[in-house]
Amino acid sequence: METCQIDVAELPFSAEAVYRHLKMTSASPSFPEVQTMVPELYRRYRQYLRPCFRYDIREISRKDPAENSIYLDDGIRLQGIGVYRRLALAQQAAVFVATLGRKIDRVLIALGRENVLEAYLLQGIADTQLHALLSRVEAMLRQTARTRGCEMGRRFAPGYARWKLPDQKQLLDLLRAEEIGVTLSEAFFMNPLKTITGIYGFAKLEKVQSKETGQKLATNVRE
Amino acid sequence: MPAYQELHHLIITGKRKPAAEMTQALLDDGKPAVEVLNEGLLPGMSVVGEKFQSGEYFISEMLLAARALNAGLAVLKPLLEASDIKPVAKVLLGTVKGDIHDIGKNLVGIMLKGNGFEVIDAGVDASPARLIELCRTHQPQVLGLSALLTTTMPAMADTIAAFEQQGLRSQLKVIVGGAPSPRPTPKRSAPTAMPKMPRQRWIW
Repeated sequence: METCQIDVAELPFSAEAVYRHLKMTSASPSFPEVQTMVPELYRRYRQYLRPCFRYDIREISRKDPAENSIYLDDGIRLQGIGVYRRLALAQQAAVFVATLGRKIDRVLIALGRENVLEAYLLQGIADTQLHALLSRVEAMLRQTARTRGCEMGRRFAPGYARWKLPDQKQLLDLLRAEEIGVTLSEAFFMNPLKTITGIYGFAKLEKVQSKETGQKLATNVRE
Repeated sequence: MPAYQELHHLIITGKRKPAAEMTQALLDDGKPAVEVLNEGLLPGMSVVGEKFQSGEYFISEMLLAARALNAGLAVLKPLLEASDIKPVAKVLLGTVKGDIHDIGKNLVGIMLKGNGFEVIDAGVDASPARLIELCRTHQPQVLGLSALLTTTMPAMADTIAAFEQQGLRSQLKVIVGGAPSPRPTPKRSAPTAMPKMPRQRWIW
């Protein structure tokens, strides 16, 4: 298991990415004003972003197609048609949690009480910073997969395609996420709010490259 | 441009400072505060609501307009309070217990204020006990509950049940809203009306 603290300056910030995320274009009536606010909000609040991620790479010990279940090496069972299909070709699974920390949540809640517009824009900034962090995690894990002679599949996470949201607890427990400040509420949403988890399959290249399994992988990716 | 149309335009385009200045100028010209509110500020915000519903405006445009509206309202507030103007109705809004997402709730609050309602905002993670306490204090006619996640939706039904237990339900219309509320799940609170809104929203 590895934990990485990231300097926020290492995460690329793009105001254009924030506008896209907020579904704004240069034709939006609010664009001229928002265009000046977004970079200023980023400068004002980036000190509250504490990007950090933790990951672990586990062997897949067993697959049970009848129950759509994947078993990791320590007996943890991941169950659901989506997660089964996504990991069907894999021999290893990379599990991760990435977060921007609790400080930005507090800022967002406080700002929401006094300035809804700024809070909305800061939400957009935080969301795009979280995506930037996710991109970094993905790049690092993809590189790790290659050094192991594997191809990495796409991210999958509880809440998608019949992988039940409560199973988020399995991933967080596996990563001992509370040690980096990530907890799960009774309603199964993560604290801090700007947190993302997921699992990637690592499949040996020769398996992925065979025609039949290649088609299966393509199907998995489409799904 | 006639004065009220100019104020509409300032609200619609989200010009905060000019909207406040225009509001003050209208008062200085001898216009009554309630007229400035009803002929100037609120109609401007109604246009914003229509543009939002039609997809011409998105959230940021609405928030800019709300900021301009609030700037104008701040100028009028002392005069309106002194003149004993009653709101259309009082609405108690809150994101239910277990959920701390509030953008949708805030937008609803903005549009309600823009249409002459008084809004009491219970904030996020609002427990039934807190909402009941606020209900007893402020005597609203409408209770609005918000939740973002499917896992926090049951808290809406729990909250309504708590209001029923306290004998407060019959005096309230209940609005529920949020991304995961496509159907009114709790059978004990059947819907009595379903307005057309950008997001699914039900009045119970």
